[in-house]
Amino acid sequence: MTPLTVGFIGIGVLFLFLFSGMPIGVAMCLTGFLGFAVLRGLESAFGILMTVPYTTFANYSFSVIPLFILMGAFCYNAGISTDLYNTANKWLGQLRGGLAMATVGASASFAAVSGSSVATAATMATVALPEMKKYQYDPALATGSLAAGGTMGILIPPSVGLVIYGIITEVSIGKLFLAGFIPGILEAVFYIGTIALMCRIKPSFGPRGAKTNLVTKITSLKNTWMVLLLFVLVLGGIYFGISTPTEAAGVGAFGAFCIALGRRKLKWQAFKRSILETIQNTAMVILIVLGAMILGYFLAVSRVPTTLANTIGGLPVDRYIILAAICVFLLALGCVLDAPAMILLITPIIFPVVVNMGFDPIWFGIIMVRMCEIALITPPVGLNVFVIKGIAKDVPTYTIFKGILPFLLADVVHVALLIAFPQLSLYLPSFM
Amino acid sequence: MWLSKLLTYLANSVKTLSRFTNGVAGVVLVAMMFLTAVDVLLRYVFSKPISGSLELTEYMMVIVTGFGIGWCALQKGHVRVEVVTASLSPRIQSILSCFTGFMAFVLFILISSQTFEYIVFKYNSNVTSSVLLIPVFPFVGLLFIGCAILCLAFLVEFFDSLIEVLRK
Repeated sequence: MTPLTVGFIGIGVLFLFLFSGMPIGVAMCLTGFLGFAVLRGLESAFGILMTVPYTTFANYSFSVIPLFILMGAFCYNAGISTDLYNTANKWLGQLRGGLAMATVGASASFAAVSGSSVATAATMATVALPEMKKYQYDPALATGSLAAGGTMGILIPPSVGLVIYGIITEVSIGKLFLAGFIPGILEAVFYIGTIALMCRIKPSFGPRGAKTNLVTKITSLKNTWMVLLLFVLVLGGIYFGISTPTEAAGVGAFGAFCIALGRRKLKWQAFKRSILETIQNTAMVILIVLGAMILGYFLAVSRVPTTLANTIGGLPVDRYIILAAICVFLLALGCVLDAPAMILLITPIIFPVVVNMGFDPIWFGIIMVRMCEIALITPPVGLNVFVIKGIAKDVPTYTIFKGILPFLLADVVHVALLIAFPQLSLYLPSFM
Repeated sequence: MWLSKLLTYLANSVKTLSRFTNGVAGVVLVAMMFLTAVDVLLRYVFSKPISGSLELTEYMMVIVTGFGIGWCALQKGHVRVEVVTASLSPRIQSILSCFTGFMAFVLFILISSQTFEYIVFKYNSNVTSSVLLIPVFPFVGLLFIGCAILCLAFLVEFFDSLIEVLRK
């Protein structure tokens, strides 16, 4: 059997393991170990099991993961989302569909201090849903805007998805963060535009909220300075070369901790919850990272990624058609895997193909995370939908998916725009 | 039934042990956050970075990650693809869960035993960190403990599913 055949059989076995319900990290470790043993002998495979776990777990660059998760957890548990929503509401609430627009705006702001989509959706839902209910918003629009708005958590920096992509491809995390900024803002604009359009067609979807004067609007901004400060601390630090992403994450987590303490929102229970959530999420991600490392050794000796890159790169088809196929594949995969798992599993295979076709690695990182975002609101898994469902218990899942449809359309146009104009992603990183 | 008694004992022990290591991981995480933030502050405000902060972070990471994986497994926190299994009958689900639990247990027996060998290797070769000269082997030892707890957590999962299969 050629190494290539073993490689493809290995990928098949991996998917069998995955679909049998095995933890994703375990399935990747096991396939990597077995495949490497077949190709290079049992002794070499044991050698990998000896060294790779320690080098993965004791890795300085990976410490960026728990620190950014911790920063988001402090912000989440300190109730920063309430202030963000109230401010956005003062500015946008009086428009038709304004409360849903405020949800999107507040989600985008919260995404600037949190790297997680699920956390963004969950925290916003608890604040925004009662308000939209009060103004008799259409349940589909209310829940749809929350689920879709929440996805921005992994695109707008800091982003755990981009961190993981950066680690696995060795692309600068700082540049990836900057690259996610404009597409993230644009996404929020697209969502707000979608809500405006829907409420123009059918005004009863989103009645106008309470009117506020300019003074109220401006004074409401005082509650959001901390988000701005944290964002500047983290992104500014990376942009001006003051701190590495790991250091920025440490400073960000510390800043979030101080702000939460200063606002007297971080009681002992909330503090403990933030820490324990972070440890659990980190443990979850690190096991998959370990899987990706061990699987990576196997894939490298099987030559599957390089062969795929050369074969697909040599096809007499326009590279954008191949890219579209990759996007569809990513979306399908994202429907059954969550974002970190999908990025860790598929990047080692797809990345060489994409780079070989002449696409920019940073730009592709944005596209990949964007596909993960869409997958978060696509059936059957659509994690964000179930997060919202958990909070809006009286709204049927079907209604939430119905509410998401217009935002999905906006997503398709948005991704097409990002593909057509790579400068939207690459303009800011070019200054670094 | 002796098997379920043994399982209850094992499950309780693993739970207590992993809850403790998880707590330790939490404390170290907070320390890691302070270390990183203070290091940046000292470097840019006073031009006096903490020497060896990088290697300290690496050692702390072993505890933050290695000591949390066991508890995460007990909480069913390690993500799985559940779309396919959810549509199967409960009995088949239990059989599959038996299989995945057993495979995960075997994998982590291998990883734990190899990590143990790595402790011996690091100890014999006297490897230390480059700035603070802290020996590496105790931290490989901590990872061994983390992997061993995860191994036991998967064993509990295997037994749980086995009991389910036998009951049906």
